[in-house]
Amino acid sequence: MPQDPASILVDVVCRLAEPAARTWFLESMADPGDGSPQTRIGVALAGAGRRLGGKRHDLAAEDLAVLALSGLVGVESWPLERCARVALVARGIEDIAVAEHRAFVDELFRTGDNAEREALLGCLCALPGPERFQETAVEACRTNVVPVFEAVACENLYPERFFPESAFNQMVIKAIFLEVAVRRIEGIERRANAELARMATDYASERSAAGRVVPDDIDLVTGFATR
Amino acid sequence: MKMFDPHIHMTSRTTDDYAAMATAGISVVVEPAFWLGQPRTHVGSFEDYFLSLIGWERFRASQFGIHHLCTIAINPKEANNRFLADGVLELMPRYLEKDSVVGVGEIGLDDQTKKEEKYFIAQLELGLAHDLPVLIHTPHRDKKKGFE
Repeated sequence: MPQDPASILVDVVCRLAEPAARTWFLESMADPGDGSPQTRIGVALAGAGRRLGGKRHDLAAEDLAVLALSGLVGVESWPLERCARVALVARGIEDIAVAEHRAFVDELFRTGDNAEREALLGCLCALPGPERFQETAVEACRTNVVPVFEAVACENLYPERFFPESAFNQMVIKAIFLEVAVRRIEGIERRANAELARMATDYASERSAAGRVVPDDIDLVTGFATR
Repeated sequence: MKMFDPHIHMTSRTTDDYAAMATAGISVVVEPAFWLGQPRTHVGSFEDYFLSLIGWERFRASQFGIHHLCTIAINPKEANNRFLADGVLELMPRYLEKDSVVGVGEIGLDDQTKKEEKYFIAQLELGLAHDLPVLIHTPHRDKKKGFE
């Protein structure tokens, strides 16, 4: 049984894809050595939805456990095309020079549609040297496309592990602002701090002053920080 | 009754329009890429526009329960700028693969120049290569001749 995350994802896609889609996937994964891996992977990332859309994976608990150990959480809810996209990135980055990794990930984010961005953000922890992709992940928090924001902020170990305090705090306040449940943020208790509590308290005060509803989550944020 | 609007430019419309459309029963739209009114001066402007069609606009529509699809292309008017047109043709193989891109368009003729014809044909070929339908724009002026 394969033990590395990329192999698990490649296997499940190959097993469940229709024959033509399987061929396309394997051709997209292969590096012919005569072109730009960045372009090949970027085009394949785009096309995965059309070819694999509507299918679900059937990964067993032990496979999900291996994926979780590598930083891939929430995989049980992934559609098959997201498994393919993550496999393409995780395997494809091996064909790219280390010095180009950061630009590669940033370009995939910049040119990705919402589903591609969600897949990319959800797999950053599992890529080699994940701390290098901090700028892309922090930039992703600036989106107002809620599912993309959720992909980086929720059920994702990356902010807890790699965001500096200022970026983590901004992400939590943005979650409250977008009405995304803060309990979904990994590490919300461990990373709580006085400045975050101050920001949340001030936000509650602004909402009250404007005659607007104050989200219940604010108590969780201030509570974690003052414990 | 559910309705499908096959040609609507939501980039030019407000969020209130989305609310009205949802109330009226529109559940799916196709937004073709077109000339925005203000001429573009960089290939990057087209790329950002395509990204807005597949990204922000798709999300904005979803907030009203509307499924947003689009077509992408270099439109006939701006096809007269060879620098821009060549740049957009280079972008299209990637963007035609995106989930919500359902065709090549709007393509066709505007002033009916040789350049417009050249990029019209090139994009018809892209449609064939990607197995996608094309959405044709016929000229506003001298339409009958252009159509022929």
